Amino acid sequence: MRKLLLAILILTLGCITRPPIQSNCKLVMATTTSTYDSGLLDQLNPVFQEKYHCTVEVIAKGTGAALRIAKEGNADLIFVHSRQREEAFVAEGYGVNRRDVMYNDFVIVGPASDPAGIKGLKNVTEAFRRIYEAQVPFYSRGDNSGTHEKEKTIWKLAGLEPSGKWYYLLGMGMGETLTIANEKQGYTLTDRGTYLKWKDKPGFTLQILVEGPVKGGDTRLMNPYGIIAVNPKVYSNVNYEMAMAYIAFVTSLEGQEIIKNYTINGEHLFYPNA
Amino acid sequence: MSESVIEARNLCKKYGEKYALKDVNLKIEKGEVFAVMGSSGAGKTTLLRLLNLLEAPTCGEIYFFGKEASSIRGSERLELRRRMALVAQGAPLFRASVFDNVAYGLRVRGYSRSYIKNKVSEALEMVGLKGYENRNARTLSGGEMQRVAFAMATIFSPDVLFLDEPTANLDPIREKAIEDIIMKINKIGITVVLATHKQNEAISLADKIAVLYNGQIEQIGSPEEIFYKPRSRVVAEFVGTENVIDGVVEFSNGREVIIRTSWGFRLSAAGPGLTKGDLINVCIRPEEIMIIREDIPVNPKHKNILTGVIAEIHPQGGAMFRIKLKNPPLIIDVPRHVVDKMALKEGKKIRVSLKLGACHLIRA
Amino acid sequence: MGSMEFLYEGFIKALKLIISLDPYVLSVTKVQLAVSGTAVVLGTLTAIPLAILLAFTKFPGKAMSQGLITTAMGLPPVGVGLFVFLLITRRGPLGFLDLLYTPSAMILAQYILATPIILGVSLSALEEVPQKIKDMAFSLGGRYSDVIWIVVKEAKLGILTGILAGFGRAIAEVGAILTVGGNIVHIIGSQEVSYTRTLTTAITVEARQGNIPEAIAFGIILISLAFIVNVVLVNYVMRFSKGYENV
Repeated sequence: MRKLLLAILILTLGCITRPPIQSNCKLVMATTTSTYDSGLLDQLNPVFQEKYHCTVEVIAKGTGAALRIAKEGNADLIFVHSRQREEAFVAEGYGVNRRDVMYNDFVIVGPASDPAGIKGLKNVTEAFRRIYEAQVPFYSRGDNSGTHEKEKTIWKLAGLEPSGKWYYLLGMGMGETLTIANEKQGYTLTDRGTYLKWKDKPGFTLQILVEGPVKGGDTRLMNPYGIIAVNPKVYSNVNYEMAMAYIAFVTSLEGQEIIKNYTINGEHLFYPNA
Repeated sequence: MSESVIEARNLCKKYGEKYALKDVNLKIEKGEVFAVMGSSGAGKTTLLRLLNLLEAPTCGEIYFFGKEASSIRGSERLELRRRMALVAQGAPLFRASVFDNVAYGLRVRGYSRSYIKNKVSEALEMVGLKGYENRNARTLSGGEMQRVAFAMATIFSPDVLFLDEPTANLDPIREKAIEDIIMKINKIGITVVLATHKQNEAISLADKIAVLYNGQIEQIGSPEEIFYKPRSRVVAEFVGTENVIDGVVEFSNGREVIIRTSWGFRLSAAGPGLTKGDLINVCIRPEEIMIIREDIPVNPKHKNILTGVIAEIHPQGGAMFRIKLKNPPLIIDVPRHVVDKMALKEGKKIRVSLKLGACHLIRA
Repeated sequence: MGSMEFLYEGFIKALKLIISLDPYVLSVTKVQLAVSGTAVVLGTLTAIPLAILLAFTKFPGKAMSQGLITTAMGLPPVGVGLFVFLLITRRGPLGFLDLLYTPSAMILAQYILATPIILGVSLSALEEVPQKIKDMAFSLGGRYSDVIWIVVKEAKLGILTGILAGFGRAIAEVGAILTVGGNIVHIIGSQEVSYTRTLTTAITVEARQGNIPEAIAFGIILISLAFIVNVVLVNYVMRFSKGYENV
């Protein structure tokens, strides 16, 4: 009880004596769940806030939704991973100053028993074809996220159209999709970062069966992240100045260093490429 | 001697530590209307519920057709219950059509549909609600609900019908209609046990009256006995004997007595069995007191002449007036024509006579 | 695009989806009705006999069991979702049944949510039936079973209210079925067909993905369902529920 009171006292005094840094400066970033779930932003944002005295607010959605939010003028900055749609966003005039930030890769995870027999394949379309033919449960994000886009692209490259009761569309984030796929012991396509965060959860048994380019796998599983400021000519109320500052920060040596040094259980999640 | 349908011996009922009924002994004869009178809280409803086997007594026995209730079990008990019916106060009805309500008793007895249909229309006709079959029972007026309840309770021709305050909350015209139906029901051979607090209802319907007071029976007797020869002050006051005067016997010749009353005057009255010094209550019903015209000389026929001044005079129901005298504080009921003829009004001095027969004596 | 146009367009597209009986929208609606409907039917079959039992028996701890029911009426859907999840997850006690992320799991969760409501409302309806009504049935020659039956009939509007309230709860909740249902659709042919996606979870997902017309369409259907339930409640139940003021 005493400790609690003390804690409250400290918090209260803390608020009085040290007001939040420039509470009127706010930068709204729309990003993807995989970026958010990776925990990387918890490393980047405090440093940025300290430097620029500006609070970063993060809205984590699928890439599709993140782009939409930005198109509607509800974000100052987007940090996503869907090169094609990022370029479209800029071409349509919604965004300016797109910059590469980092990359990691996608992997196919599945049960150790691997009923589709894809373990160790270097060809991702072949892996998809075997899943398709075996009709083993495959869990798709189904939320028009960057990962979902990537999955659809691979199906298209394989010349297949997934359909049937083995193919599950979830409409959920990456973490939720991993949880469900693990629970049902099915396959799914995931970004490596989220998988690394999930793989040590109690009861999680899915394994990487098909590697991405980071570990010498199919280069078509590359997952590049880009950052774009929302065009102030479209929405005059966006915090363009701080958005540009943030872009400069993550592409700077300091930002890139943070990205490079970010690990979970000793594994690197992202590779800077600005 | 007619057959006794229900007999209660030393019946009592306790709720918690409080007796709702105590030492109840009564016999209800076949075919009679037996009224249980008492003010609210006297135990009327409890008595009816015990007799209807809705509740078990705390002590004592109830005999139905000569057989003790606790010895009757199982299907025999169901058969017995099915020879009786109770209409509770307020005539609760089921949330259903009039037909379904009235048919209920026959349905649980497993009668055929066509039989029930005929019986329901007969029963409704008897209570004057012909053609009400499809009405929603809960939207009827209070009087109509009471009649439906009667039809429900009589459709299976029970031997005994218990009625708990059947005319409570009804206006005098509807009250009269309900009384007529009760008489009709009684005429077709159903013994009626009627709980009421209304004197006129008991007078017009009952063959026998039991007066309940604080859970105990004060007196059982014919209406004449109850109303004109109340055995206790409680009964006297309850049955509307407005003038109850304390007194002491001053002289007795074995048949007639002279009483000195606490109101200061002396009375002579018929008092067989009383002796000098007995403490008694004199009960005089207000309508039994006669006002003597001023122009008529007093004659020996006029016993117990008293004079007093009118303190109040109010019209009563039924073309009667109620007079309150000042000293002695007697209450007198007289018809309107007497009031008019004698120009009775407040402040007027009058002479009254208390006939020997009007003075009913009970030991205090 | 102005905000009003945006809403207007979304609304028009939503109506088109509903009127054209879009197979995806239809399948989501079907799953919702099947899951919530089954949960409420099972809940009713459990709750009514239990309510009758509780209403007609006296036992030590009855007051406490009523307290429990009242508490259970307000169970948070997310909590129930978690409870069912832990029960049927692969490593849970009922994991061998392989129920997680199936319609059965959703029915189980909604059954747990709806049953206490049906039970609680029915029980108070049964207990509200005045003693005089029971006495009347008994006095008119009814057996104990006849008395119970008449009490159930007297309370039927209250019981119906309970069932509708249970259904209203089931179709409105999202927390439990999202957790145990997984919000899954299949692609059959080239058509998305709901497996465990309901109106409520679909709204969550569509709104999150910015599919405003679909979200609005599901919203309209959901509100219509809730509206129908309430119209039934108000028009049927309230109109015919003359109370006991004269009894």
